[in-house]
Amino acid sequence: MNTEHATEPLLRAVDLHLSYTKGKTLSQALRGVSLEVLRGELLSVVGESGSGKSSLARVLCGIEAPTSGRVEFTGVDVHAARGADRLALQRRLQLLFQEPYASFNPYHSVETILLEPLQAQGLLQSAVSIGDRLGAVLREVGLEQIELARRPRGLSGGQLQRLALARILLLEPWLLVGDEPLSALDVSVRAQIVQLLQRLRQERALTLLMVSHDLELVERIADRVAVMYRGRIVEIGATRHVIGSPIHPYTSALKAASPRRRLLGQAPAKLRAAAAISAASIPGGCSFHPRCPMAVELCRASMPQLRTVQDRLVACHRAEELT
Amino acid sequence: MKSLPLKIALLLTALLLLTSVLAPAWLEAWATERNLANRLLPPLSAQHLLGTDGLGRDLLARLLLGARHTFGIAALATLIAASIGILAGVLAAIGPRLLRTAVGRIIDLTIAFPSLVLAVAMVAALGRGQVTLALALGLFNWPVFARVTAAETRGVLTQQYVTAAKAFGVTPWRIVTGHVMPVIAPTLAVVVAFQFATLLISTAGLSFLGLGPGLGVPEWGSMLAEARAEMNQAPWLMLGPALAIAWTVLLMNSLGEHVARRSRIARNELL
Repeated sequence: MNTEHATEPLLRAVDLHLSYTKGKTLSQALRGVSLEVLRGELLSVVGESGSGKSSLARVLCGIEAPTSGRVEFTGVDVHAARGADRLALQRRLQLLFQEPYASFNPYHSVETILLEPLQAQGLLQSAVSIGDRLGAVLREVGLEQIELARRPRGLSGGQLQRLALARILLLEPWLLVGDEPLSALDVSVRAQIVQLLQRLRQERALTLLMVSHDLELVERIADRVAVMYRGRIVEIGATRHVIGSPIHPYTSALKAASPRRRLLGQAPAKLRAAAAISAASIPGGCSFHPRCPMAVELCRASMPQLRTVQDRLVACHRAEELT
Repeated sequence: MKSLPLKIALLLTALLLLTSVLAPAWLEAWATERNLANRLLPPLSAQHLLGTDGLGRDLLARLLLGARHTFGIAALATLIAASIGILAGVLAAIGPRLLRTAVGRIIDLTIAFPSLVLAVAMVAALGRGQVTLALALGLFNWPVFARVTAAETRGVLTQQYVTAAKAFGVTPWRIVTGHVMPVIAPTLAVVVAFQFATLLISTAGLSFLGLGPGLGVPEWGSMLAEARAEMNQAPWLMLGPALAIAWTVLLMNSLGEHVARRSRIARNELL
């Protein structure tokens, strides 16, 4: 793997498409997503459910193959790599699942769970130091009290996500992709895990890509944000630009709909309901136009491409008017 | 029907297994010893608790030794069927598409033919004998195991922990041994118990028809066949092997039920 060029992005996705056929209907989860993840940054992908953000996470990690398009991690094609290249990818590029409990075999002990990736990667040779390494990583994630012989059942949501992190950290990953890793947790536990992730980020120089729908959290922790709608990125840029002063009507609507802003009495944007649109058919032109309060004839006719407007990329025909 | 308590069922099974594996020489001598002066003694005779058959051989000894043959043949047949079936089932679940289709077709074909008829043909071709019979039964009764294994394995493979394991680079073989097998083992144990009962009946049935280990070998099915000749004078000669077969089958069934119940409980505790 090529680690020489520090200026190169750690991960680059080029024009990703992903579609499923269920019976006769074709549903498109990704419709031409390109993005780069830079070394050391925390990039957040936000959007409502069904926007394709979880599919994006799975495709970026190589768990699911895109219908077309390419993902490169340190210059290596994630979906074409075989043999040693693939094994190296599987070590450095890790996915943190939304439901940690489901990612552990209920018949396995904590020790088996922790050792499995090491064994798969052929990193178990120095049997003497394994105990120390397990101890160290469990301390790192705050699970030093856990019994190695116990099964995951009965662990709390926070403990499970810590265990998932410990399992991944043993492999010394470079990029951690989180598929809403916090959404299944209680609010108080969520704060602890966020703290843990931020500490790990500093101590281990981890790069993070976090899929989330919690805009307030994203605003607090992310360096950059990508907003997805219906399988496309509609706005991407530095958090203070995208969330601070959104341009795309959809980003504005997301921001206005977040719970705290509603508590503060700010009126949610006047969006037409998502239910009015069938799940399988994506409208022509700008896919957001049926719900957009600003839509004009042009929006129905042609699909806007991402272009630079005020320090970020936006896919909206009327971006300039909205600044 | 309430099944036997687990401990008793296990004890009886262990006894049967022990008898079939260790049947000592004296039991063999006792079972084959002829004494025409004592032929067709009724049960509870002196020295012959269950009576004697047409050649004056002790019925109890022959029933005990029969465990070795009937139980042993059925056990070997189950082992063969389970080994082939589980391997085929795993391949059908994880193999490349071509292999999956091929295994599926072979299963359909094997199920389409009546297995007893095929077993008869095979014994006719290879000659009589314990191993031949076990082989004939095992080779045509594996599809049950393959079907269950394939379905259960596919179910486990859709679990997120398998996705996670694959993402770490765990090899397919290790996913089968490490993730799939521990989860499906209890289900397979149930199939083994019930399939064993079925194969025991098949063993006795084929022996009854004269496809068993051979004349004079105290196999329950062939003992039943021999007893027909003296049915009117000595009905106990039929009753002995018939009850032995019936009870062993019931024993296996109740063992299967216990395994099923236990694994359900264990699964509920774990999940």
